[in-house]
Amino acid sequence: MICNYVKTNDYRDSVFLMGLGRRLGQVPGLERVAVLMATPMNLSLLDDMGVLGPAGKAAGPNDLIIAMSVTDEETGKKVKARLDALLNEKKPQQKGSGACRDIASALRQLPGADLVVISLPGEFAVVEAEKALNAGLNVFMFSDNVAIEDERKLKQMARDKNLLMMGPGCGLSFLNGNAIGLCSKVRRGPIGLAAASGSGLQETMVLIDRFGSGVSQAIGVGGRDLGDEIGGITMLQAIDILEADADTKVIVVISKPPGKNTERKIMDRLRTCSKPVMVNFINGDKEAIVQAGAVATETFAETALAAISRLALPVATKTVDITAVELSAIAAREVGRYAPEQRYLRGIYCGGTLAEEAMLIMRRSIGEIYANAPLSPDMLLANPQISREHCVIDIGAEEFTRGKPHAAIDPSPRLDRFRTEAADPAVALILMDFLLGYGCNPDPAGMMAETIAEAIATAERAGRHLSVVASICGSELDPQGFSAQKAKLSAAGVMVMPSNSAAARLAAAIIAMKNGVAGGRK
Amino acid sequence: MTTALPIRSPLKVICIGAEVFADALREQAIETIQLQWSPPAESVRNFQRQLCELRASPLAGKIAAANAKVIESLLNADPCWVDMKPAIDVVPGLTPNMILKSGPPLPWEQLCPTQRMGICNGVIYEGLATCEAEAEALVRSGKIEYHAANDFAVVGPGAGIVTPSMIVNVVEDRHSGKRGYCAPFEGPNKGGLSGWGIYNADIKKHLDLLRDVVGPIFAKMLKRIEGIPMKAIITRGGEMGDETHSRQEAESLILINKLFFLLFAEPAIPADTLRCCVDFLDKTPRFFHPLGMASAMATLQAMKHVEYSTVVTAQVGNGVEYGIKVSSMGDQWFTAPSPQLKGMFLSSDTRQEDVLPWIGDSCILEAIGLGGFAAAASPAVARLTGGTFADAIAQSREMADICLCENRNFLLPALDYAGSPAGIDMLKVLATGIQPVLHGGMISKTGKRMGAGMTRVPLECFAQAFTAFAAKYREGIPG
Repeated sequence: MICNYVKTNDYRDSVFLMGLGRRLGQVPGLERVAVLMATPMNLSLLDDMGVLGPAGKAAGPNDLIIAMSVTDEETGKKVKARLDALLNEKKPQQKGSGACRDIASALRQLPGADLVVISLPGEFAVVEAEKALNAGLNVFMFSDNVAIEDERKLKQMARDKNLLMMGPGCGLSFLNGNAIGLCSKVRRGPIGLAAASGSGLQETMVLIDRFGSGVSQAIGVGGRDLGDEIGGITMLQAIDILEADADTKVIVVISKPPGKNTERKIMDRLRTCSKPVMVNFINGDKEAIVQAGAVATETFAETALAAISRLALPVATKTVDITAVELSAIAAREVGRYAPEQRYLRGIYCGGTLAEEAMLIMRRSIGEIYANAPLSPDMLLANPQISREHCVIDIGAEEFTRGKPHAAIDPSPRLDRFRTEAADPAVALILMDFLLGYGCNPDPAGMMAETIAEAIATAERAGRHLSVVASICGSELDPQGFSAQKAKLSAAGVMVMPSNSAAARLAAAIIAMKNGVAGGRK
Repeated sequence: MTTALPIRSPLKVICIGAEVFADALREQAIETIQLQWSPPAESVRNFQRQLCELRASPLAGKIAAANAKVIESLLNADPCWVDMKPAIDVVPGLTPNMILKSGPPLPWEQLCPTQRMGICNGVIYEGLATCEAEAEALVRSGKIEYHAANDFAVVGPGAGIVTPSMIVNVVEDRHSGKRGYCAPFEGPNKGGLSGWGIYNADIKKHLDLLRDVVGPIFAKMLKRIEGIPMKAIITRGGEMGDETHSRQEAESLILINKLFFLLFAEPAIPADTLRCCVDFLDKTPRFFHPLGMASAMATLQAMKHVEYSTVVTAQVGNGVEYGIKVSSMGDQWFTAPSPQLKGMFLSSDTRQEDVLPWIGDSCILEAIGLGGFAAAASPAVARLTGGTFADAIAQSREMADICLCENRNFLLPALDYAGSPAGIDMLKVLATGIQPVLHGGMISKTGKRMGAGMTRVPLECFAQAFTAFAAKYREGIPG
């Protein structure tokens, strides 16, 4: 049956009325209902729908009509009551979003932006980087897993457009005093850096700061830049920039050993460089560097010191290093407290290059070291989860971080590993790094301190002694604060050394003395 | 080549990916935007590589230059309503044995019933047949041809039936001299023959009246005043809540107001003729709509046939297929199944499956930055499509991501008077996976008005267009 209700002189706009039907929901016995103003046009529509009755036909344009087709009058009344309630209801306001979905729209909202930071999965990272470069923007790409030919293409494109393509696999850059990526904030100063190693760059930067100088620009180029497939495209640009930069007096170049052809290119460039250059090719060939007229350095502390020494500035020597005498004294004290079966060193690192630096230093006095990223292939751990003998684990390596944030952001996987190593009765010493900086974990020392103190106490109760040696890769300007982090570690019983290389030397001295190997500094 | 650090101070950064990097920058008080990035739709993911290569190739420069030229035409367009004449007198290429209909071309068997009925009724109105069966036989025999209106610069909203003797509004882009055509709405006869393909004695009477009485007066009047510029009316309408597709309330009032003055100033109109003209204005809802559409068409005509350009110059549907055209590809159609509309229904028992997929050419308005692209102009339409005004603002912003310019002619007060996004770039659509939004009315599969809503142009149209574009210009890429 057709049921019409007319509400005289009750004007509602048609859009509102159209929404009512949907909000009404299911009512058993209701075949169709329409709520409209009774204009001649709407009456004819209602007639077409077959719901117009005599009451409706008599309605005028200022009248509201509820027209329905129902099985019985009861249903009609029920529907009318519900609609009356809906007609008087107020609608909540909703918020929409003005979010940017692509680079072009972000540029409209932030005119003058000239850097895009990309941390997407590899295949998408390439596309976005290409868009950024095409839009005239520099790129900082944290992402890795980018095909090498894509990397080359992006870097060539950036170079042709006079832009910087930092990465893929770029951990940090410090540009115009801004910390980009997972990066420490350090004092500004006359030393400019260009680096293909994230933690190597960070360590050198913070040591320059700690030793009393500062950084003009630090340009991360990405881990593969100096391989021959890429040929140092970004590194050569960075050297050009640092040479032309009036605030830069000394240049530091850091990379794992470059490809042969690339090494030649870089050396040719350095030969004509008008500024003094310090080169740290982490365990690389020094010969070519010296021939190119640059200074070859081994550890990052040494690199920082060599750069500062070129500036004829007073160096804050007290903070620089630990002397051989001090080392021996600490070593003698620690060795005297170990149980006889305690003989091994275990390193648990967040920074890959810092782990490498430590191994290079330590193997001279304690011999070959097992690792998940070993110095020689035969020292590769069969299972990275299980340590053996002297062993250094890079907890930032892919097998530990798959599907998780970088170890500098979330070092929690290190907690379990630390407990395991500390509980091993053959372990005498655990060596660690603590990465500070913007984007890094807000309190890396705090999250380890309790576990470390407990482990040391447990070892003592078991008639052993656990040495924990660490360095902090960070500055006072970092949100975590170097001193505050150092205080937490010291209070937990950690021996905090002024640099990663000093920490490695101390660890090696202790273990060498314990195991009766001629050790310490040459 | 300079060797200065290519980064300015103060640093401003766009972050894509893990938000920890944006937070780290914000902590240093560096101005930072975090993109709400999501992987491109599966359907466009395969194009990302090709698009990369294209952007790095020499073709990119040619495309940019061509698109700049097309956008110039878009922005400089000055559509004016200049005439009202039977289609046969003004539409180039139209012959007495042709019926036009909306959307891309389609074989007879595949046409939706509404359109088939409309074509037959068009044949009957032309006096070429007396019944539907006879009309259909003529069409099947090929004696009567039916064509896509868009191929003739004619806009066919709904079923989009335009017959040779039916009167059309003529809008001319004074900048390019190009013209667009659209039949006036059929007054009290709802969609009428042109919109819904229906035909009866009242419709015939009204169409004849328009052709024989109203049309000649309007034609004379428009000639006397040398046309009425449309752009200024749309600009004002945008400020008054019209997005010019689902709503042209203000635009109709502005125009009708002007027409009343003109009619009464027109010398020597017999009283009964004047009565007919005034009736026509009074009884035609959404009077401005056909003129907005013809304005869009005239503008788009000026944007067509520019080599290398990737700008969309047509987007229309026929209830079965949806088709687009791209400037450099001329009148080639790129089609996909017509999309379904979502929105608000007049009646509570309307089922989504009863709604006819998109039919009609009215969505060419979106191609010049109106309708769904100018959503931020119209709180009223936001409600009509079932959303909030905030949604509408977000929608206009989203459309900007696939457009090449802000149309300075159509300003959006809610976006601080930014121009509405215009000039759809098929490359941007494929790069982002963002599909153009269309506002429109819903009609049922049997030709009844059901409500209003919105939909999006199928990505498949753009995928096809890109493939054809790449094939056409591949030899243009050295190496």
